[in-house]
Amino acid sequence: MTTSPLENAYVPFPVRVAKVTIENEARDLKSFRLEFVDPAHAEAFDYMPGQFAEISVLGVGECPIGIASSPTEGDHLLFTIKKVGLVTQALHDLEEGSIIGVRGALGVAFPWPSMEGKNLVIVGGGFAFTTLRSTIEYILDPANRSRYGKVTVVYGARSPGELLYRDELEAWAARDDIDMHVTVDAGDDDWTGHVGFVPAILDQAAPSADDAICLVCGPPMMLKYTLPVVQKLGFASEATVLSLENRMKCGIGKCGRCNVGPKYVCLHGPVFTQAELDQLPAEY
Amino acid sequence: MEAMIAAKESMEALLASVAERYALVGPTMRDGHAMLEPTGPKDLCLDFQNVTMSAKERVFPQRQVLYRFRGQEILDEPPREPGVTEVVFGIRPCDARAVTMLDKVFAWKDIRDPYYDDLRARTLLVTLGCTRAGPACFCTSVGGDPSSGEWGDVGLIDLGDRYYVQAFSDKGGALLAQLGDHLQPADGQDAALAEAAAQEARERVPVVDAGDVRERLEGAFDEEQPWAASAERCVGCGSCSHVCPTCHCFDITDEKGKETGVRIRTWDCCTYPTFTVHASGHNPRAARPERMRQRLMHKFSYCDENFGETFCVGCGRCVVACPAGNDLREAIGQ
Repeated sequence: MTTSPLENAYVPFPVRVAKVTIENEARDLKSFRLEFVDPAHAEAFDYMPGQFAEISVLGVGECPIGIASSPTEGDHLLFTIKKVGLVTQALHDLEEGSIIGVRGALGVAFPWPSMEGKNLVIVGGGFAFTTLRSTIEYILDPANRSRYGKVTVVYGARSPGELLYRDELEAWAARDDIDMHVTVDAGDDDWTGHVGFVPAILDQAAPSADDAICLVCGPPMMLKYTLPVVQKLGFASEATVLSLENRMKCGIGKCGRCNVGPKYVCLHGPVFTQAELDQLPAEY
Repeated sequence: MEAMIAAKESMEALLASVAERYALVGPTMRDGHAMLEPTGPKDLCLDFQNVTMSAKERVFPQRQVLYRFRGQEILDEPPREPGVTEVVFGIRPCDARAVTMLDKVFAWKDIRDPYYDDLRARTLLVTLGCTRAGPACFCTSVGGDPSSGEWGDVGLIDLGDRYYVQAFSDKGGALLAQLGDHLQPADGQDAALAEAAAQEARERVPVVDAGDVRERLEGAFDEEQPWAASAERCVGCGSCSHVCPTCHCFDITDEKGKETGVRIRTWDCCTYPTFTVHASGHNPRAARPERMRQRLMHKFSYCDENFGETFCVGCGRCVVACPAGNDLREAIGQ
């Protein structure tokens, strides 16, 4: 049996942990910059923002994680991972230079062909902001920026210390081709930005739904209160795009674990429009 | 290829000839149960109702090593010679039909599963038409046929003192060519007898009125029935899935020793309460009725949608295996 990751979809590409960044005050979120050991594998790992990968620690297991880097940033991959189970604990214990594995890219990306020429509203909460980071980086790349209209971002976390990618948030805020609305549930002495929940800030920012697509990623409670605001702003269910994160194993539409109705989240998703989700049982 | 005849008195010699060339797997009697396992020409038993576990495990084993590793390095495996290495002799047509369903799963969207492909290519399926129906059989109600060899490579029909033998694939034709010494050409009378036996076998299978099952289950999705009653009895043991020849959900886990380890896949089951639990603790199918519904909907709606046929061959194993007395025939019948 071949153990080449180029021929066997169950075999991960070996990658080196080039850099580990602690992302939050609670220290349970770390970003991992991964570099392919074999350059040919980097070429084979073709992806677009919205897709995910299975991160593999041999001897512990695998877990599906959204890709936080953009293909425009080079050959390395970025994953921001919360310490929550066995595999993620093992990842948090890793030192720079360690070798782990990555299988992918898996799933479907955000609907890039239909996003072209449109205004984009990007709404994120908590650590679900990862694939949205990938998305923003991709759009702001000089080769891509002119292909999209106005870009509005609403991003919230519980506190300033829980916001991901602080340096990038500041850099994006300084630009005039992206409208940033970063908010926290509760501020601190140094915080000068918005204070309030994501749906309220989105409501205030009130980006137009005309000729626009809205991407929303966040925890269930945020989605529950944000999606009605998205609808109120005038976004049709076909123009409202979400990302599911069901439990998965194989990631290639065989093992049945992420099955919802006739769809497999790993194969037909994780990205779905609200219109598509309306056709499925709420088993996610 | 023309049909052949194999005399029952020469079956042991025929099986010995198979066993000289291939690993022979077939029904053997153990403590009153027919098991499908590696065996020899003397012990292979063709007088049985159906094997306890289906032929699924020959192509999709209950536990299968994906690869071995040392530290974070995956170890190379020596390449294996291609070609048939195992003849599974004497499975029922329903089990061969189930394998053709698994073929669709493991080739879905052109994403190949090299482990399944490997075992499938190595395995040659010889079916033996049924002469009697088991108490829970209902194959003809879900598109099956108790005599047809069409889903395997070679098909046998019992004509009393001899078998009517047909090849249904190139693989099967090649096997029959190798076994020529033990076969004689069938004549028109044999063909007529085989058709009569097949017709008789079909008529013996109990009928379940499973017409429109997909539409009926989809229509009842949001209703409390028909899920609640069977869910109340279900103990979540997973027996139904394990004995099912088409259930194919699996888990992937690592087993690690001091220096080396293996990543394996093992059969799993959507009726287990933890099957879908997220890392956050959230469980999309937390209640048993939802899991019962999932198992039935996957077989009779989602697979029909994705693969063009419902994933039940009517073998009745789940009916027999359920310790709580849940009966699939009640769930899918009118």
